[in-house]
Amino acid sequence: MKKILVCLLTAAQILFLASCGGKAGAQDGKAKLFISYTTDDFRQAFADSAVAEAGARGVTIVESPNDDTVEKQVESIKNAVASGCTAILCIPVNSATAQQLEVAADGVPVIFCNSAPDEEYMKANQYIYVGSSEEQAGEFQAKRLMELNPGKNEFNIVMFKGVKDHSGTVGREAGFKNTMKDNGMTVNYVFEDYADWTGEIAVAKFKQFLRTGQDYDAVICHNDTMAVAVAEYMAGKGIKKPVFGIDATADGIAALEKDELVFTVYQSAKGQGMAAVEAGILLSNGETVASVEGVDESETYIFVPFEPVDKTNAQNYK
Amino acid sequence: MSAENSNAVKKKAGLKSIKDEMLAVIIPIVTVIVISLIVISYNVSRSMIQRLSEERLKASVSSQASKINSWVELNLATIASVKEAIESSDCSDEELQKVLNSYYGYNSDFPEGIYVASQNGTCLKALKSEKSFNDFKNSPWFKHGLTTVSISITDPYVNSEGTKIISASGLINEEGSDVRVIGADMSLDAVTIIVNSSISMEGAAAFLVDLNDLSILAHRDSSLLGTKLTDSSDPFLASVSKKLAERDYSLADLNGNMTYMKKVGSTGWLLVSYIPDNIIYHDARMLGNNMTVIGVIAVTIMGIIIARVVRFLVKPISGLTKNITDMTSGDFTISVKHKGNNEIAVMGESLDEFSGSMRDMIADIRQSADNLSRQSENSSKAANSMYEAAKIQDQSMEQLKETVNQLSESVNDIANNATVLARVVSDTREKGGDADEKMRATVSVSIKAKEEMEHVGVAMDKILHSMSSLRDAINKVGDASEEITNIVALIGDIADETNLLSLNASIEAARAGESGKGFAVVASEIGKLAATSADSVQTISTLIEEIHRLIGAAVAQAEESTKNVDESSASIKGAVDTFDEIYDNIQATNTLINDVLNKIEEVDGVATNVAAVSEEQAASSQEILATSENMVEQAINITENSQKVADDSVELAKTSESLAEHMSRFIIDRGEA
Repeated sequence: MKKILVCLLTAAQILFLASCGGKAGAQDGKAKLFISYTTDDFRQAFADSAVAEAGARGVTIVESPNDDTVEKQVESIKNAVASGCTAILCIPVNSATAQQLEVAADGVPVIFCNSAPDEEYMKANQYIYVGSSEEQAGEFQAKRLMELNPGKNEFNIVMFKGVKDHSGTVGREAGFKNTMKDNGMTVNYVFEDYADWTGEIAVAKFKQFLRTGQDYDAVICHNDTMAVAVAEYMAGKGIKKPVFGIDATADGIAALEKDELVFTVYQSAKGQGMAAVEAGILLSNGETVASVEGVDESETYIFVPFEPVDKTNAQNYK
Repeated sequence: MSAENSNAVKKKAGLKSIKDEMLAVIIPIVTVIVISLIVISYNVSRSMIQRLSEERLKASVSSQASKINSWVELNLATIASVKEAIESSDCSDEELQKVLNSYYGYNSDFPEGIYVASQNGTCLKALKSEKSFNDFKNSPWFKHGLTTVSISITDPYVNSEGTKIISASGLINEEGSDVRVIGADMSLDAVTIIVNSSISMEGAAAFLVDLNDLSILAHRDSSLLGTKLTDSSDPFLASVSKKLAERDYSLADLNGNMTYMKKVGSTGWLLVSYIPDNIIYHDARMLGNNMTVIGVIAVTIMGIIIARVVRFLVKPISGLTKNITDMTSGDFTISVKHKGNNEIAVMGESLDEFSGSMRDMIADIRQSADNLSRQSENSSKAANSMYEAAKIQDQSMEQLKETVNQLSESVNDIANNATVLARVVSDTREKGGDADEKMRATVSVSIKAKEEMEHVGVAMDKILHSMSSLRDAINKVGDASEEITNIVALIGDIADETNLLSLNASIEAARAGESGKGFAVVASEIGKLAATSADSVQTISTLIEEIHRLIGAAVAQAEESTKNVDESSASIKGAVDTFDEIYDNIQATNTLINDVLNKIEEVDGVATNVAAVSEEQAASSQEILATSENMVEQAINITENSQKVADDSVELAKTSESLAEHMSRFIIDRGEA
């Protein structure tokens, strides 16, 4: 009995020492991160932030900035795992490929960013998501709309949405609509269509809308690209209606400053990059992400808050 | 006796039998195990079933939602393709009419076909279509169509025929001032069919809710169609409503139903599927019930089997129990049956052997007890005799001790005497030597004495002669002494007269007084002188008489001597002869003395030996004395011991009687019982 106890204690001690050694070995300097993405303004900003954060923490980070197809992304993740990366930061080309990417990661933790995969492919402290709550963006838009129209209970709204069924689209639409509803607003969506994040489609559909001759109080866009395009078109036509965007892109900020946009929401690419690196290091060390700010109860989602941006604070987001 | 035993067995068996005790232990254990198995397997299967059910419900809901979404998307795509064709062809109304005609009946999901209406009032529909365009500008489909370029569905609404439908509509993307909307009415029947009949999970039900206003779009209970969840009095629907209000679409158990809900694509619809717990867990309960029944049956069968087995196994034990009880009460006449080769059979066999050996042993003991009793009486007697004998011996030994004591003393004396004797003999031997020498001297002296004796005879003759002369002389002295006697008588007379004169003179002197004093003195002196003279005369006279007598005696003596000398002469002659004989005798004596001396030598050795032996004897007798004292003590001990033996043998006799009595209680022969 004593012998067994001694053996157990010894084994426990060895494990403890080994785990300590492992932790020491995987200290910030030893974690090796990998980041796979395709470039656009936001994603580049995200990647830059992640690289800077990793550098600040003394962690190696390998960039793969040209994974613009699923095949490329899968391949680069496989290579990264083979080269000993301890966590994968990934902005998926298509969030529906999450399972395929997870298989490619071969047990290495994957931090999905920017585009959230379906919930069933997520796993606590293994396959997690770092991004911002899409609903919060819609919520900010709704709140600002109401703030700009105090006492107004009924709105005619033109809404340009992203790609159909995209998580950003669904979340932002729900966030806006639910907030308005919850605040007792009667909202008449005089035009509501998908513009697939693009300005051209948005403008084209806006033109069609204008033909209907319906009145409207505001144009709500799911991103700045569409918002700026619509706003520019409106400006060109001399139409003065408030346009709301999301993302606080450079164009968006510029449009804000030109008063073409009244409001946008900053999705903190920097904050997401930092949070993703922090989570990546923790998961590399076999720890949980419970300590990361904005993590949900399931330790699966880390939400970096959106920040409302208007003309008054636009210069902060240039 | 045996009847009592069997009663005792029954009495004891009535208290608690091994069978009952074993059953009382085994049955609860088995029952507990079976219950544990049932509970564990029920819970395991229940949780498995729950997990599987959740998966199946989710899968079912996803499948249904997907089907509904596909149905919607398909129809939207169909209309969108027509719309696109119209947009791209920029066709005339006639051409459009043809297109619409051609699509009539194309799809049963929009039975009235596709229609186009413009804000300026133009309405086009398939020729066979019964679609009414009354007040179409206020109709939901047209209003909806104005809000979207992409074809999308309206919220459900009731059409002019009173049927609840949805429409798919959208702006036709074109230049120009006229705004046209293309649309198609879609029956919800297909959706209802999917909702009600495409549930892949048995026992589950589903309904479709419009998230906009929480109205029910499809439900098995057609009376609920169009009603709002928020208004529902059904507790389940109310709990669903409450959950939806929180926008919580996660899986939950609501009001006894496992419920899962999923948004249907971008339709704004929510498919709720649920399955009552009692259906889900029906199998688990069935399993539980079956297992309970099986468990009860198993426990019962096991109980019976165990009871049988235990009874079978214990049966020999009850026989053994009876046998042992009989034996306990002293009946060893039993014979134990033993079959088989197990422990109980071995027990029976051993018991049988034990009983047999006990029978033999008891018989032996009884025999021994009898013998013992007899022997103990004998030994009691013997011990008494021995006691008597020992007492006598004791006394005898006392006497012996006394005797030995005396013997010892005597031997000591002997030893002393022998020592003295030895010393005396030694002296005697030395003196014997002297005697020899003296004897030799004596021989020579006796020779000399004979010679001198012969000289004495001669001298004797001379003495005889002298004696005659002496007698004559003495006779003459006798004559002279006669004359002296006469003279002395005269002197005596004178002295008497003188004394008278002195008395007279003294009387006269006294009379003269002082002047006569001097004379008185002379007179007293003369008186004294006269008295003295008288005494002397008396003495002389006595002496003379004595002399006279002595002369007579001397004469007689002389005569006697003469006679004696004569006789002596003769004797001397005889003496000489005697001396010869003495000489011879002495010679013989000398020889004898030498012999004696030799003997004495021998006696000396013997005496020395005797002394040594006597001393040894003395020592031995001391030892004998000590031994005899020991023997006395032993004798006393023997006496005491024999007394004890006597007592013990009495006790033994009692004990053996008691033993015999006890042993008589064992029955080893059927005849005894």
